Amino acid sequence: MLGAALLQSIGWARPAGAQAYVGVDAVAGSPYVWRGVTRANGWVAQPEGFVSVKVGGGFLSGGAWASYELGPAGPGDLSDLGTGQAGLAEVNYWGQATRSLGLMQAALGGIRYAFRGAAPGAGRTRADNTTELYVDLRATSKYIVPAVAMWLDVDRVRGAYLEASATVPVLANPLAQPFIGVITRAAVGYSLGQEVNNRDPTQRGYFARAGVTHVDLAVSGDVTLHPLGVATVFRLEGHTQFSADDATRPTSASPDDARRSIKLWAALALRMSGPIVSW
Amino acid sequence: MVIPRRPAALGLALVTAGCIAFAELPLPSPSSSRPVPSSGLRAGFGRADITPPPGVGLAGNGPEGRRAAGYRVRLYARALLVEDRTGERVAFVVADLPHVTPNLHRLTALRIRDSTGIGADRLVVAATHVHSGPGHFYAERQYNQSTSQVVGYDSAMVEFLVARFARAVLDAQRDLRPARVGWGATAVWGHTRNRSYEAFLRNKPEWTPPAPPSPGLDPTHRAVNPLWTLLRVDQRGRGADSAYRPAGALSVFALHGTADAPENELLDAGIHGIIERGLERHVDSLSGRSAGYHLVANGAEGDVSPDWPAQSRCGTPVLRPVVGPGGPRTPSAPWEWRDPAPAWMGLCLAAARRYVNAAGDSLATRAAVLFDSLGPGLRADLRVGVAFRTLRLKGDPRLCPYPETGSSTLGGAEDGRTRLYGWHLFGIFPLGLEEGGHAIRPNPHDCQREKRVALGWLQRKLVVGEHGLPEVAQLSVIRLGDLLLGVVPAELTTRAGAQIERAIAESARASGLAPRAVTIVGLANGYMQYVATDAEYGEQAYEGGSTLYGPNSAAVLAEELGKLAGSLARSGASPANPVDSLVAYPGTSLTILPRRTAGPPPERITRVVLSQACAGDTVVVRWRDLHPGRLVPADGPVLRIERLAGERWDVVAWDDDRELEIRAVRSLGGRGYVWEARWHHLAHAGPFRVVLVARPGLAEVTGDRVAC
Repeated sequence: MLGAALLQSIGWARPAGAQAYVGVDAVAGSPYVWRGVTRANGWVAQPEGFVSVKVGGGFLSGGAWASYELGPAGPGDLSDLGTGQAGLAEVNYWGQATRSLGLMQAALGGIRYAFRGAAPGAGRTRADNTTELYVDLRATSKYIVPAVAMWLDVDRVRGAYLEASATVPVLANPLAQPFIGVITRAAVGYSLGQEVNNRDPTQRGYFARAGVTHVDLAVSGDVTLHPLGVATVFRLEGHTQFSADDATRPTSASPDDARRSIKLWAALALRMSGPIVSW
Repeated sequence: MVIPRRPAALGLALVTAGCIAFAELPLPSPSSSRPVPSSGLRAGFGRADITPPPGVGLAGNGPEGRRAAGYRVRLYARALLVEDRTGERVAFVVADLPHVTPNLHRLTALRIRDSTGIGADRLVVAATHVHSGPGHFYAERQYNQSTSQVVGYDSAMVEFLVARFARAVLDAQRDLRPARVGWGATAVWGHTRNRSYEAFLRNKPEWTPPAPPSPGLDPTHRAVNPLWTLLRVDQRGRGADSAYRPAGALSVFALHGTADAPENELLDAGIHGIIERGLERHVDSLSGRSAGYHLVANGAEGDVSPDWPAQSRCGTPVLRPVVGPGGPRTPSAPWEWRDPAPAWMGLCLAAARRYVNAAGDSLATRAAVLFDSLGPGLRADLRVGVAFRTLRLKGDPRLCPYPETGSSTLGGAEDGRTRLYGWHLFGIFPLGLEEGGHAIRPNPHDCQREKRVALGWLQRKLVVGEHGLPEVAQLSVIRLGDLLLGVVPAELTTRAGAQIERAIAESARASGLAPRAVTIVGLANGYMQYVATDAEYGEQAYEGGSTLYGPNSAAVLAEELGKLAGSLARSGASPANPVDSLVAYPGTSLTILPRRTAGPPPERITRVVLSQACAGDTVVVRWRDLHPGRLVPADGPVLRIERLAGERWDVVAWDDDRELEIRAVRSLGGRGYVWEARWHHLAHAGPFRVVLVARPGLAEVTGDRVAC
């Protein structure tokens, strides 16, 4: 419904034909870094499933992803579940409309976050459950893809998180299958009201202060194969993060790691999606 | 290093030894038999359809070559066999293909030797260089890997082509009859231009064209060899018919086969196909028979483009992030190479087709005028001779020790840029993927001199490997009376061609033979890419970057062909022509050419017209038929279009018509395959109907009447 409303808001025309897709993906990474904040410094697996309908020049999609902390956190670890806990840490639901507008691409959507942390030291509990609306705009060009995105929390946190990025392809295999790409990306995060609000203790905050939260430099390598005719992407990505906010600095629960300026993290992703029906 | 190639072995070799594994494929070395004097000059023609089923890669435009979705003007191999009164023979095969390779040449020679006495030394197999013919037959692994988007070698494609080449020559042998021949040349200006003019200008002394240019031509149009050389052949009738009638011709004209847009997705004989058919129709009109032949070989066309209009180039794909299914946390869809907008593609493809047809018709008319002008001077005393040798390029001390491709090659020539053209690292740092500029190494220090070798040392170690590029050149000089043909397995630039022609002429004269003309036949008996002159090499345009063995290549070919001309002149006929052994390294054979086992057999298919409609000036018909592979266009006609004239249905087109496009649309699994025909009916007024021609196991099917 949300997606349909959003589609109408951007003047979506009635499609002449459509196609339904299903997709699954999974990301395994360590540590789990979310908007510059280290949420868990152990291994995390994040499976996702979604359905999409392709209409005109874009997609209307809905799905859910979960985050599993794969090992029990120690006293010195960061964890959404808390010390000694492992397993399902959050389940999130989303809906999104995406459309290509000439050389621009736009995405509008909403996310419902539901956390499962209950033990002492849990980074996210039910009290953190919240809802966001977001918009993502990016240009496409031969060498550089500038993008800007804004996530607006309409529930527990309030305020907005902004992220500007530039993506540059370095290498791609143009001659033959499989498609191989190396993509670099630089992103900067900015808190606009999502810092701790000392005047309202009921309002949650993600960051310590307003302003730049971190700068992330990433490089990823893609290999795209088509086993059984299904587009399958293997992606390995590495990140170097320069932290600017006290909330993005810690790399563990240890006081020694509370003021780090630089952190490294990596993730391995697998994505499969394909059309299942056309009409 | 030569070891059996398997995927695991390949990976291991890459990791541990830094090289690519190659499997040797020895090629036969059939020699010609001794000439047996005959009663006089004889000549014969043959022709074989070589249109493969859709699904193969269209070679010639490198990574931009599409997978063939169907076909338009069919591809043929045409053969001419000439024998003089002393029994000296030579056979020419000109195929509507992008290139010809040593394996096609040698294997064809093996097939025809016992029946014709013609071995590899007396056989010339040349390509028109059309860029919309199939690949997958190359003797060199790298070409099988990079000449289209469909990658790989397929030994079935080699067999498909060789069998048909041999059939064409054997048909020519059966067609041998007393003949009268004559040759001439005319300057054809305005249809071609030099696409690498900056490199061309580096040559000293300045270009003096072999014929005065037409007034008003711009410099690039004057920087070509405009000579169209044509050998006319008239044959005596069979049996009691002793009259000599026009039978066909062999033409040589420098013209890249790039008039079609690189984005074309149909097998098509291109501008050469229009020229071939144009003169064949003219010959038919003169002879009163439907058996005219026109072989159109290419000349020194390395830097010579057809004068295509700018709007016939569609633009290359661009790497972009794509909108894909998924959400905010979904790993993003991979970036993709995206074509220009479909509407634009349609316009530029149509513009290219209009140009192909118009220029092809115009050139065919010029050929017909030349053909007619030769009629009064035909003679029956032509002398034939051949000098042949196999030059080992790799290891020749006059050349670079191994072949290397320049970075300018990766960006493509002006006729068909690749998606890499002009690419900068991070959009800032040039990589030499251009012509000239950063493709020129600023401090030449080795054999390849100004060439910035693409990927540097990694090219040979990790991409091309030890035997991935050509290592030999089969060269010959052929005498047809006072015309000498210098046959080279390369794309020579205009000035490199002139340099070699001069060397042949001087050597022949020094040995007592006075040719009236020397003409290069390029792209024959193999393929060693381009050969630019030493001066042009310094510019590192596309042709210089593609001169694999360095700046001395043209001089070496000139020297070797000069020697052959000298030996030909001294011998008085053909010298001893040893046929050396050759080895191919094509890579592992894959299944690319659709097989005759594809889909259900004819007895399980109900062939039926599914739909037909008239949209504007186009008749669109869809029908159910066999899968590609069981349906092979080269086997014969597939359909014809008929028009109602009074009470009679007249055939107005069949599936070898430049206005008729055939596509394999989609599989119906066990029920067959959907095919589509689109015919632009132009001046014809309907009603029309389509007739699916009877084929083995399939009865003729007639569609309903379509009113247009």
